[in-house]
Amino acid sequence: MTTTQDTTTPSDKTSGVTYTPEDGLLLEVEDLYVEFHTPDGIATAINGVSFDLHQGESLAILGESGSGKSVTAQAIMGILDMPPAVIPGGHIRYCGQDLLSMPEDQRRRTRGPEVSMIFQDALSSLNPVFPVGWQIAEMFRMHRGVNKSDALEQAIRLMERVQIPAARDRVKAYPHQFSGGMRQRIMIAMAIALDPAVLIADEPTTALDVTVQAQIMALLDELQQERQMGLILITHDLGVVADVADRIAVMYAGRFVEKADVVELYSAPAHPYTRGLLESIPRLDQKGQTLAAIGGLPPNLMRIPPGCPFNPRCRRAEDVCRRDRPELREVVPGRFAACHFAEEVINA
Amino acid sequence: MTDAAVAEVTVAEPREGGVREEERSLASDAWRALRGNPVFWVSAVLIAVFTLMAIWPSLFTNTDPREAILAESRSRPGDGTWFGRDIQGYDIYARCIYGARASILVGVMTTAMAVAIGGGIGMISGYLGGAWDATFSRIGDIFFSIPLLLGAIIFLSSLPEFFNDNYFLVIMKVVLALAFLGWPSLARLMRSSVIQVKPNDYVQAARALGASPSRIIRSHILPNSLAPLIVVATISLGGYIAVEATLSFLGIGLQPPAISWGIDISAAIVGLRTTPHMLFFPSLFLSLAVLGFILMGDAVRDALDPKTR
Amino acid sequence: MGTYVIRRLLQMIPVILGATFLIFTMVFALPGDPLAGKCGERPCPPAYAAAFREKYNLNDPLPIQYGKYVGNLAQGDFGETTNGIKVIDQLKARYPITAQLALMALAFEAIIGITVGVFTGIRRGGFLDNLVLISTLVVISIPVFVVGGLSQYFLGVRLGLFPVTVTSANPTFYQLMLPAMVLGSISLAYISRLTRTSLVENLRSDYVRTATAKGLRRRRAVGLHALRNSLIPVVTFIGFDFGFLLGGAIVTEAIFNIPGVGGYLFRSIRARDGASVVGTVTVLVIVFLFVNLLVDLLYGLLDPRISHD
Repeated sequence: MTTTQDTTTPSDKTSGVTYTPEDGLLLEVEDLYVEFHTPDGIATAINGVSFDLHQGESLAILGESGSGKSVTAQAIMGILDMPPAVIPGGHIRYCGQDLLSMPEDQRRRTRGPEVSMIFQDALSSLNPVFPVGWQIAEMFRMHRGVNKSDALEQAIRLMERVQIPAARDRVKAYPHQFSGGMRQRIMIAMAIALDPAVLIADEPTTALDVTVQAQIMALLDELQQERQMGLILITHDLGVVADVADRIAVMYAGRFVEKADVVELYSAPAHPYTRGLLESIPRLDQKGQTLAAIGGLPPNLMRIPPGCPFNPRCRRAEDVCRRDRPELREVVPGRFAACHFAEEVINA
Repeated sequence: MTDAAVAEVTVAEPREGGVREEERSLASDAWRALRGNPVFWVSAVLIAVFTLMAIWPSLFTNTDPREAILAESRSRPGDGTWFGRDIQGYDIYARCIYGARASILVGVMTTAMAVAIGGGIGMISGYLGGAWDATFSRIGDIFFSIPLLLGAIIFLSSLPEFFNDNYFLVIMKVVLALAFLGWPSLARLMRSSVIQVKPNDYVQAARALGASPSRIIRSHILPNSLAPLIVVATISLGGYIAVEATLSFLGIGLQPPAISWGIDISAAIVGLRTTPHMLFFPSLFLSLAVLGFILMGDAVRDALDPKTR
Repeated sequence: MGTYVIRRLLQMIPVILGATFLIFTMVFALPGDPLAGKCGERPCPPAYAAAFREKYNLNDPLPIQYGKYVGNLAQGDFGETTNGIKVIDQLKARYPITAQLALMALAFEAIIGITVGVFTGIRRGGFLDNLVLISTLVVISIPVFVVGGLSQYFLGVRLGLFPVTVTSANPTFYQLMLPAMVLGSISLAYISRLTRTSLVENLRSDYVRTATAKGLRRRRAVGLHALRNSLIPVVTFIGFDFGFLLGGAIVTEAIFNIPGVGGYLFRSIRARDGASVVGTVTVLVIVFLFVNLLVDLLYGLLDPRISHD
């Protein structure tokens, strides 16, 4: 880990700080807590989440809406609205440097060149009144001090890289003049413009048609291989992540309930919630059978039930589940689950 | 941005609360938001007090507002009266109380008439579209291009003088002038909300099921497009009160011996240097009345619009 | 774009005709007698009345009267006032003064209103925000003639900061400053509230979150990305307000004795000087419509999602 602090004039043009990952370790999230202080009370959106991300690795964070997966992404990015959000505990280290204790201006300069993000709804996430090329070029102009025409030229190259047809002609077009898939490509171009080490994709394909979904995922996969980025893929859709992700973390009520290699998790889930999610995917070989759905609803984050947060919805919940909160523990080597009966679940 | 996250976080709440909370409708949600808003209560009290003043002024004062005690002309507040006396020796407090009637009458009746005309025409334009829409929209454009105050002055100046003897006829004159010129903005608003509601699936479904146009309008379109109209109408009610006072101030609307805040302000503005209280009290009453309706409109809009909550 | 402008210009013609017809009807056809008060308290001598009626075509049916009037108007002939002065000369002398007043008011309300709106929008909920919210409400609810009278007295007479009234036929910038501030005061309040609301809404938007995620400085994310979008409704309001200001000038010009078109119009209405009234209002409507067209074109430039093809 080498960090050189340029004490003279850290301007945007030369960001002044260089970040080098040690042993390929890009991101360490350690025991992170995020709360929302609302007039109705305190909602604990993230409740002690930890994970690592290495170069060239892709981690999928899977969960229902309200599970805290987007909040995790926004906390890493540093784009939570504080208040109402409060981070009462935890660390987010990027290349060994704690982002949470970093001066805001230094942290701001990591957004884009180091850590970058793409959002679910590209139409609302792109500014409607500026041309797309201008919006991509803004990255080069603001972070690298590139002049307008050179920045636009680089924007065109990026648009070509993300396979936007006739990029040169369309660089001056506005977001509403593109299709949903093309808009998401523009978001991706903008996010990878400065060659970030970490890319966070928050439900990147949810708003898109199925065929376009596959194309976007393939593009993300390709870019990740090419640039050896660490990719965090936030999704509620198990189907989307299978081909791209290396590891999966399943989130429930602000906690990781299972962490595993993608193939292992699919073949033998170690948590009843993950099992339920897998069973709720329609499969051709089970045509005609009733689809298994997880009964009940996720808990209110202001009143998370005692014991295992999943116990009210869990088919195999016993007294111990209502009493003791299971910690995330290594069930078999390389596999973590937060369930008192993980061994039984995994072997079921 | 992270409000989305908050929404995501809190959305789980009502579900857990059970059936009762799940059945919360937009109207009851709005009422809940309204109840918790102090602005709503302030404006409701203001409106209630002024309405009561308009209906039953003797509840607030036993003094005759036309009783001129010239000997005490221009006396200051506290010298035997609460608000002092004006040039004519009238009790300003009593004048302020009795002045509410003209303002409230003009405001309420103009709004009712403008809503009826504007709402109706907007509904027809929006629902039928085509030639109806084009015709009404152009007619609306014509009225819209004449500033309200200016049009009202011309309109009122043109009406024959013999109306001016009867209090209610003069009021009706003002109401007619303001409603005649004020409906197009409400019609535009109604038209656009009807156009927004019309393509919704539930309207199309009702249509496919063979519901009559009047039934579709009554039970589907009207309830869903009325909210913006009510909000803007409430706010413009305050505006109409201000215009009425302006007209009286210019000597065009109500004329003495009718009692109106505008008339009293007009009479008081000359004596501003020596007797500021003569201007202050009618202005205060007028502003509070206008404020009451504007605040009410604001509060209702905030309650109906979940975004600002 | 070109065809859009042409279409809009063509659409203006019926609106102008309709508006002038409406005014013409109100001035000439309603039961009021255009000769009333022309000759003092007595009725006019029959010979004068006959000549007067002949000159203004008052013996023709209304549509023919109007037709003749429009025919003359199309040739640039605005007719003569009842005192025999050419209306066009009056308009030429007075419109520039009112236009200057309105433009000054517009500049005042736009610059201060947007600045205040931006500052309160960024620091939402702070002391300044609440202060501005309350004071704008106060300004909105106090009618302009009270604001005018008060500011004339306090800023003009008491403190001597501004000239109390306009004394020359060609008022200076300095003389028009206070009247312009009074005229723009209500709109100033609306603009600052609108800017604030719009900015607050846009600050929550996804694309401002994107701007933050792009690592832009807050100043750029707010001052460029959010503000650019927030100003779209504000610009529309300001354009629309120009017409309102021309109408509102009636009151302001009366208070400050400005020899503009407002005072002229008011006196002409009172004197039932039909040709003056119709001529003045015609110009006013045309100006209003052109400004509206300009605003719509500007809107298309500001918001690329609006297409004028």
